[in-house]
Amino acid sequence: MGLNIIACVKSVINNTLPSSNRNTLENMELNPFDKPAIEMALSLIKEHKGTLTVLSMGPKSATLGIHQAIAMGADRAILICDTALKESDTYITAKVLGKALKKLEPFDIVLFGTRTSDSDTGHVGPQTAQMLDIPFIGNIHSLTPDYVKNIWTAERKADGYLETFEIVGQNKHFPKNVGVNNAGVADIADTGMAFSVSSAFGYSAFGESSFISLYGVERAFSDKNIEFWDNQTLGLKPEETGLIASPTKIVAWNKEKRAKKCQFIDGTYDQKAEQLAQKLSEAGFVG
Amino acid sequence: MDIFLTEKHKIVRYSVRDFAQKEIIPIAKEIDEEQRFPWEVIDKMAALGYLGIQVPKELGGAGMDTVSYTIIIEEISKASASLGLCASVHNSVALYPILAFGNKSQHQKFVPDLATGKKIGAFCLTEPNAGSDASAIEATAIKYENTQNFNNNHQNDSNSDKQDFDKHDEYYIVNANKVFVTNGGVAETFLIFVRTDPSAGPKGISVIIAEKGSAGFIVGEHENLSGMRANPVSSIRLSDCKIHKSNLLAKEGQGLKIGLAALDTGRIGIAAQAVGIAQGALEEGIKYAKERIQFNVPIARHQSIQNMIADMGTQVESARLMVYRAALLKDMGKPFSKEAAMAKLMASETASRVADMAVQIHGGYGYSKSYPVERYYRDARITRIYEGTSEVHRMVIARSLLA
Repeated sequence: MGLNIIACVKSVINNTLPSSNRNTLENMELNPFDKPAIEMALSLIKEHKGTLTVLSMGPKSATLGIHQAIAMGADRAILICDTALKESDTYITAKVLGKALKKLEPFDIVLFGTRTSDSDTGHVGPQTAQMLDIPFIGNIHSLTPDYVKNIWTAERKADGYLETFEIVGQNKHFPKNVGVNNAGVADIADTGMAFSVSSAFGYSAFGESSFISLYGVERAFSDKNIEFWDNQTLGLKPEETGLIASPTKIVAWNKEKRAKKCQFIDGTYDQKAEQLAQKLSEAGFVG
Repeated sequence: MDIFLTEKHKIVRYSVRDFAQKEIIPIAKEIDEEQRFPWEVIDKMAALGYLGIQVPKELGGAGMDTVSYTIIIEEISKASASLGLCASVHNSVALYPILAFGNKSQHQKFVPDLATGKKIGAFCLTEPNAGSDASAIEATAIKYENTQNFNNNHQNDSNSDKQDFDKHDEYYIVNANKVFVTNGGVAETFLIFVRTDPSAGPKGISVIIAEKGSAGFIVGEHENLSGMRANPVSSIRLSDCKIHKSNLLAKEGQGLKIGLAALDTGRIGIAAQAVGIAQGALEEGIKYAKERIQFNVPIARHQSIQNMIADMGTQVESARLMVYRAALLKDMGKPFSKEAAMAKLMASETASRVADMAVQIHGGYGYSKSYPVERYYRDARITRIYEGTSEVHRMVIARSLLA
């Protein structure tokens, strides 16, 4: 009963810890950009009932981040873990997540973070939606189902505008399997729909409840276990995943050297502020 | 590598650190300067379970182990030692004795409100003339049978028999003058150490649970302390305060036993707090050493600063390991008294030394309230004094080693 929501999450290296560049059971955490997706899912469930499943692909050490997601309130957690998945690129990651989501059908919505704090591509959400041939809207901060009209309304902010989308819902709440769009993004879908959730949702919207409570941690380790899936579970051959199957490969990975440059701005306070704003705008930091 | 920590402990650390960074660090300086107890943050801590860390779930707590408790106290103290102190005292010396020595009805009456943070707890042992020598307390609780009032109040109550009458109507008249009561200004449930038998020496000491609001219960001013300024440390006076017999913890004469057990547990919390202060000072020291340029290089490149950083890091790590060991022993149900005393001694001395070195790395700025190390320096100092001075801890440790 209720909504069946899936949040795809990733465990990343906690970069606030000193000298951490390799993932271990010591330094992993839930990707901070995935938290708004979980929070949005939890707030939808609070209002409309339902369940949240977190789905992740990663090494064994990724359980640290997954447990955090359960402690936040997820009902079920699946970690796709297989040595053959090592060094998969975003395309293969999306393919694997797509296979797993197929197994989890029917679902109402699948939520992603907008990006990850480590590789920072932002590809996996839209690519996974493409694999499933379901509509995807990125960077939303609000999502509301309308059961009477069978329509989901999503909002996002972009280029100084507030965009409002409507998508016809699928599955149990919305038996009519017809998709329409009003913005050229949504398309006819077989099942569910996908979104990535902006950080604009979350902390401000959720307040203290977005912190993991000790009760949540207890729950994550007493009643809920992480289900482990592998390539076999998903019907994937080893050669279909990992570095060998990935169309994109990282050929070099060098630490960037940042040069500090100090500039002095002259004038009155107003002139200084104006010049500073202009410089920041030119550099693409604001605007 | 944190060899003592499970995945669960790591998630506890992650979640408390996340909370402390977003909710405590932004106000830590202000609450210290203004001597303000931040109820808005305390309420959030309560909602997250930080005020009933080791209390069983059925009594409203989070049901966690002692290692988790040390992690939580360390992380809160790193952000604000005053709030770490509030949580440590509330969880250990206020809640723990009620859980360990209280009867079922006392559990029901006091624990859920404390564990969920509806009420804050305090521990009142120290008096003007009784500090390290706890057996020298002068507070008294004299038993008193209030038959007169009972008859007046219950003359229509035909169900009560004579036996109930006596049992239910015995009171203690408590007179006490307690000083330096942590959480004193905000607490509602107080463990008061008193003499129930003034002629029996140390064996005449008992613990009575007093509640704020009773007639004759007087809360003093918020002490103007050097550190821990956001904690409303106050004096508490009970003047002919009538407290029902059912508020006696365990039996008469067991006060010192309860006190020592409470302080064994409390030591782990204070040690964890000292580790938090030391860790905070270490991190600030490292940050500043990398930023501050002198002789054309960040001062972190100077060997004398590196030596300080290396010593600070090593000492913090040693202290933390000792705290984990004491906590782990307690969780395993093994004796931990000596280990807790060693951890408290080591951690509190470390906090003072490390905070001192962090100030030194900051130079003149470290002596200014503009940088948090100045606060760490003041906060660290008390950890060598309260819940047993370093000297008393050496006494406890030596006694154990020479036994």
